[in-house]
Amino acid sequence: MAMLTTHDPYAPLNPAECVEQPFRYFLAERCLAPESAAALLEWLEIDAPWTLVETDFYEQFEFDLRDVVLPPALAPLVDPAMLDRLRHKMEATLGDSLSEHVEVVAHRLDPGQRIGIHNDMREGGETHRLTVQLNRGLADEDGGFFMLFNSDNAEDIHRILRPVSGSAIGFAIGPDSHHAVSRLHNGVRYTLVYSFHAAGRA
Amino acid sequence: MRIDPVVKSMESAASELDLPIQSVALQRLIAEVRRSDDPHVFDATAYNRTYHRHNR
Repeated sequence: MAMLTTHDPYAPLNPAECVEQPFRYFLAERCLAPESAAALLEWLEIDAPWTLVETDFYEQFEFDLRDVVLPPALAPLVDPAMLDRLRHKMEATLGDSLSEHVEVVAHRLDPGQRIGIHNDMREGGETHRLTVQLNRGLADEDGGFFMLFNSDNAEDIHRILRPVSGSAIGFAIGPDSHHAVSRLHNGVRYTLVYSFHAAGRA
Repeated sequence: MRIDPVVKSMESAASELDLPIQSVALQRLIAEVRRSDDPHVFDATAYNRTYHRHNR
């Protein structure tokens, strides 16, 4: 049996709640190992190569982790073997078979920024998403809530999630996977966004 | 292809994550994410916010 020589930064991910409607998603209280989360947050704050991206309905800072050389302490986050373990957890939790192709993007939301309601659908694009929250602690008055909807009507709210650092939501992308991020008023809200593809589609 | 889910607990996740819907200036939150905030938006609901990455 092969020895696991790299510690698994995703070992703590243990979905606590799985929901089928209005779309399939799960919540986890913690996704990353504490040492990985701490090192990552510090790197995101100080050294990460952020680029401002502006589109019609959102603006935020982001970069693709595939485009940078990560510090050794963070390298396991994009280690193919570790991403494979993460992919298997997604498969087991959401019940779908996924391809080996996984993308990891870091997002940063600054005060004043928000992400309007959308569903992440793109023809031929990724089919599953995992979003991990990272921050120094955001109060309710700071905003930055992850909002889930029953439809494309912004008033048709299914659930509002606080951006608790370390927590994660995974979901299957589809016509009904409407979500948004409310405006951030104070602090900085970081997320790691993992994209997965259904097996046979990547 | 679907495979049998292994983890399928319907237990509630930490309530710490949930913001009660009848709270904290709900109408303000709705306004912040409503599409009609931006008159130039096309069909944002069918939009992938990481789409640009695929066009590099």
